[in-house]
Amino acid sequence: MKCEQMKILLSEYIDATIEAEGLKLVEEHIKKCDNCRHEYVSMKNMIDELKNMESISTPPDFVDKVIDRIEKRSLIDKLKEELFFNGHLRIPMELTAFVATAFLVFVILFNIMTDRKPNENDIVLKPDEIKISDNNEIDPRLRVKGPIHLEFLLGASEGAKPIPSNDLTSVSSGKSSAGSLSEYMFGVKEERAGRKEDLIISHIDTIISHVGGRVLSREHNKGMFYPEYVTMEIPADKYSIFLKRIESFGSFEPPAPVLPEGYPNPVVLRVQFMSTD
Amino acid sequence: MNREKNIGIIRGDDDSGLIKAFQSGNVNSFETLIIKYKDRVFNLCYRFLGDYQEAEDASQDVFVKVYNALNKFRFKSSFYTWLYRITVNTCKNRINSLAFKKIRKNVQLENNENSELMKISDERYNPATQLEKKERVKLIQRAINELSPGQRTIIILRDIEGLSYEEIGSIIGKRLGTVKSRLSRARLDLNEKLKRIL
Repeated sequence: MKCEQMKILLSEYIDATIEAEGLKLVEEHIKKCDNCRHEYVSMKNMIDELKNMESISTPPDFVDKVIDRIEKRSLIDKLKEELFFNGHLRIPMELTAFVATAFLVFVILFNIMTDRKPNENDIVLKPDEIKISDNNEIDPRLRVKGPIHLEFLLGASEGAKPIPSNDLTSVSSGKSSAGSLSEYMFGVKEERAGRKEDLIISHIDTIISHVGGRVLSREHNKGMFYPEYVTMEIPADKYSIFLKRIESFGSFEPPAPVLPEGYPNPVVLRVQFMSTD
Repeated sequence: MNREKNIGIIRGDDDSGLIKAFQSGNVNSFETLIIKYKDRVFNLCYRFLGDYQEAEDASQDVFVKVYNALNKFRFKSSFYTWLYRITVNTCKNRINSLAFKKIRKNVQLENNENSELMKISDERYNPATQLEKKERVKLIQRAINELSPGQRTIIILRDIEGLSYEEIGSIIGKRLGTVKSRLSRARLDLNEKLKRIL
């Protein structure tokens, strides 16, 4: 018998399920053939090792996890039973209408707010990358392309209120006229789609809150990554730290004014970013 | 752990009482079935998939499938044969899924970096040069992973789980002669792979 045929019989020979005729053939062959004898010993050892492989411990919470999954599944099945009868939907018309309307509104809003494809100007940074280093440096891609201008809003320091939205619109309306719903929606879409705007605004807000201040208003021109004006309230004793931090975005031009002595606290000021994006 | 003995315990017990109780509406009896078979199912999945997390997910899938189908179980085969069949099919489906192939690829890349293990020659059974048992088990598992799903099934069921040819035939839906010839071919292939690896 050829070795290749013999090797096929080894498996049954080891399992002792081989017929008498085959048994005799194998025993005679492996006595004479070193190669097949080695194959037999090797295979037998392998099978012994496989038999003795240790069991792996099942995770301790395995049963609980399975039961949880089954119960969740059961809830879905119950809901199906409630909603369907003999394969037909049995839900009130009011609910159907409400769900359909909500779905339509969701689809429309979702499309409007997400259909802008990312472009090369979009910066993709993870939230934990939004930080300013100790030496006052930020990601160079976030620096403003133009000077920063700062002015005090004299007389507005006490009980300062956010600038009304109408005023915001009039400031920014040089590039986008205010009013219609579609334009408003378009503006939102533009702002949400670009990550860079969000990052910049997040930076500015972080700086203001770090010095204990608060944002009073933000004016944004369509298509610009930087807000054109940010009006804020800053504690007087943190003014110099604030200036240093804001300089991480670019340079003041003209230089930022020195805080006059006795200026009311908190300081209300407005920062203008001359972005050329 | 003595696997033959373990299987004997499983076979010795009668599951029909638990299954009939479940079919009569006693859902709690299913928990007893999970407790009874979780280790076997989990180990079968682990040997099949070679990954702990994948094995856990697959084993959970198996019991969810069994739960959903148990009312239709008509005692035409033993429960554990039926359970093993579901387990084998679940694992095969996972192996064929794209997500699993991706995981496998990553694992193989990691293994290739550990090339020292590959340089060891064929001295498997010399105790003086034996690798640590843990490492050996890892390498054996790797060799099993390299088998085709069909060969893997038959090796695991016969040599690791200790099932008979008849039981394997019932699980994979093949005749006795086919089981024997496939097992023989799978053992030869695995032995060749182990010679290369160990």
